[in-house]
Amino acid sequence: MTLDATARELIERSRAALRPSADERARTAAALRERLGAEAFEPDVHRVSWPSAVKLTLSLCLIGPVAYWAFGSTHETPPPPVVATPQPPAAEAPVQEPPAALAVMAAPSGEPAPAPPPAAKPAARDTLSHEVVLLSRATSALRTGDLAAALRALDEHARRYPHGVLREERRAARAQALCGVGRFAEGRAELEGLPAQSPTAARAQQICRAADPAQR
Amino acid sequence: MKVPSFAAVYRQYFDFVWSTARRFGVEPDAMEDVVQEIFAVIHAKLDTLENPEALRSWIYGVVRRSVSTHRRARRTRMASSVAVGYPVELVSDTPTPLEQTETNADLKLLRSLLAELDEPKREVFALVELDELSVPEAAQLLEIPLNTAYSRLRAARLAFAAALARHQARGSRDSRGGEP
Repeated sequence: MTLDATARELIERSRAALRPSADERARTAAALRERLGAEAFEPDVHRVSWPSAVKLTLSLCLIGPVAYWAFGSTHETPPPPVVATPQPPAAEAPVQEPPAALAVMAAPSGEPAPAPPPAAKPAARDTLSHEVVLLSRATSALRTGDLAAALRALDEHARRYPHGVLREERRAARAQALCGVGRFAEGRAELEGLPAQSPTAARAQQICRAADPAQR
Repeated sequence: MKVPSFAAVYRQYFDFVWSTARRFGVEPDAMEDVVQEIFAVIHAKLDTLENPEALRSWIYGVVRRSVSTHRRARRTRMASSVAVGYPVELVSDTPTPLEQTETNADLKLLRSLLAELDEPKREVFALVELDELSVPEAAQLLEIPLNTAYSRLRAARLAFAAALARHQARGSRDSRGGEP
């Protein structure tokens, strides 16, 4: 039994009506990218299977602290000393003080600026920005449960900035990702030596302990 | 078989998810939100998929559940609006008839014809005729024997053709009745 031409035409038109338009495609993709992070759409990222209890624990506990490390703590971290170059006073008319964060960009009027340490400031800023980018990438991947992508970003951070400003945050996040994929010994090793009073380290320790069957 | 990446699933199944959700009756204005929600669920649960070969069936299940949740939430919202004394129209974002396009008129007709089929026939028919799945795929997805899928499809096509013929007969009677 096949359908006659009239039924077939109705079905063809209905199929077309059920398909999304180009605008709908674009809007949905953009919204999802924003919601899940660009990493979710990387073509080679494959999901890692791991115990659902661990996943639940991580999804509940990681998002806040890691997001805080990657964004909040970075904003609150004082700029590296090379950035905070003292500015000479203005020659005559009072010049409105620029906000501290903009100080390095504002040339004082009147007198020539003292020679800055060559290339040190932009390099330090770029380094910190890149550290933040890598930690943010890891955070986003942790948030979506893609631990393989999180570990890749954290490994890249460790390779490029072994003594970086965000090294402690990296180690705590890495410990949690490692515990998430069942590499508990490596996770514990990452936690060793982190300051005990750090809430982020304490939280990482709790999560690893909850995930590690040997410690429960 | 390895679980594919989310990006690959999104690329391959976006149209399937969209048209299935639409076919299940999600309102045009709610489609983007519902489809986003479906892919967020897929993204969160893809690593729990035990049998990657049954990916399409799994996605179909996610769509069904998500649409059902959406409809429940919408009904609750509308009921609440009535309970507090607001007219439903004030909170309902269903498009007005004037906003319906000619294409949607086709969908309306299709829906009314499909409504005349019982649920088991309708599902096989929709998967094969609208989603363009093969009959074995539809059988796997609905977890029914292949022979059952073929017999339901045959019966569904007969019933659909009969419903369309009745609709056309009504239309021609109405147009004759309207003549002076």
